[in-house]
Amino acid sequence: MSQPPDDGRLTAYLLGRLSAEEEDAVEGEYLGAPEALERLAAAEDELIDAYVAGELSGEDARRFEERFLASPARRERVAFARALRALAAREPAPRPLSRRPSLLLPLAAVLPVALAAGWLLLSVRDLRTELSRQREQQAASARESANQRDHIALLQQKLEQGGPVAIVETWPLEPGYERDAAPPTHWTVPAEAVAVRLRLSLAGDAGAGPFAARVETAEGRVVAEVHRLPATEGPSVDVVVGAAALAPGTYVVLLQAGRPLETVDTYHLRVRAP
Amino acid sequence: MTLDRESFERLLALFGPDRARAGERYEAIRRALVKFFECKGGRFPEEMADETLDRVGRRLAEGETIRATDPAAYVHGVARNVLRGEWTLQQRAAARPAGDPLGVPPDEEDAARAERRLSCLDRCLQALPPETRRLVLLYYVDERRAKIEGRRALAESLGIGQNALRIRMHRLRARLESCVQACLGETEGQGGHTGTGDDE
Repeated sequence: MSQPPDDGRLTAYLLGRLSAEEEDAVEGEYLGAPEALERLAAAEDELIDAYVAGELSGEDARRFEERFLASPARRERVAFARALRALAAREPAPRPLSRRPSLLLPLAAVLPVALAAGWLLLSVRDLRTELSRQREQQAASARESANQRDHIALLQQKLEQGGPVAIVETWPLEPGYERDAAPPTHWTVPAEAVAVRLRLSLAGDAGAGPFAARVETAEGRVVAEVHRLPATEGPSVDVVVGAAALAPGTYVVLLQAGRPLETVDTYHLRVRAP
Repeated sequence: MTLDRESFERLLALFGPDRARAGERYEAIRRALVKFFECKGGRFPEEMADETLDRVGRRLAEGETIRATDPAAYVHGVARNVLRGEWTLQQRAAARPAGDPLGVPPDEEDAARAERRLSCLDRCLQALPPETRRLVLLYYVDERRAKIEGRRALAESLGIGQNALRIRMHRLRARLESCVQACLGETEGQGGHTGTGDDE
């Protein structure tokens, strides 16, 4: 298979080819750092692609099948990779992305002084890119913190009431497009739950947020409204709603973004009595 | 997951004094635990991740002291115990020979479902902004040599390194996978959800 430059170890981990000590080290990394987890997930994507393309050796293919085809979730990912490959092969070759203008080539043709100036320009550009990336990370982190604060505050409030609690139930919801094709799923709030996390799957054109979400009954009564919600991996947006707010009935969740807020997607759910 | 107040407080405190940041770390480590159990062949990775954090919280509330400097190392140890319990259960339940704890179903998908999946993927791709769609198609170009060289050129044209491109493509792919799952659920008249949800 085509080995990614730095993921030989991650691929070996995914295939169960590492020693126990090496496995421990990899696990320690991704349990301790979200970036390492993302690198592992990217390596997993590439391993699945290599399997689907028939690029794995016999032994690796056998290991892959043992580990990936036994899990329904991973089988879905393999099937997805197969579909992606089929579609990419079927589509006409897309035109290349527009290349960023290179400062280097014109500068190479002029005097050494200009080369030095060019180097400075590139350095400044790199610094600006890095600065911009850092700012984006800070903003994302701030949004995430705000959401977590809401989440924790809600849980804290409930915990103040004492007694054992289920922290949250997670209900994945898909946008309401073509919703008439299938009835919305029924959900039941467990008696011990204090909060429900509505995981709103984002459509491709939903943008990057931050988002606001409004949960309304079918009659239009607002039962929850949450702001400053970041998009998370998936991508999706998590909205934590107090379980008490979700009495049996039909609800519409409006996902909003922009200023002024505009609805970018709607989600439907039905809650029934336990 | 069920925790009493003290266990929950102890669990959060394990991840740091600032509650907001502790909440972030809690969610991050939960995601990593799900992946851990998935990689280890756990049948219910989400539930096992919750069970792990539940046990950590309870142990802390019972007065256990953590010596590890990084809480993730402690959580890792508890996760291994949860996994061992799961393996024992699997072996008892299935009584399969060692080395084949789960069995491997054939890697096949019926033609009709594969066609629906393809159609859903097409639809999800169409919903992406044109430049993003083109990026996906360029990245996943079929021919191997073209793929390797194409990815290098793609990273260059975007002004990012190849590893950054891989992470960006992973995020995009996760988004597409999620969209395709939703689409399949709709076309097959299923919610496709777990937990307490069920379909009419």
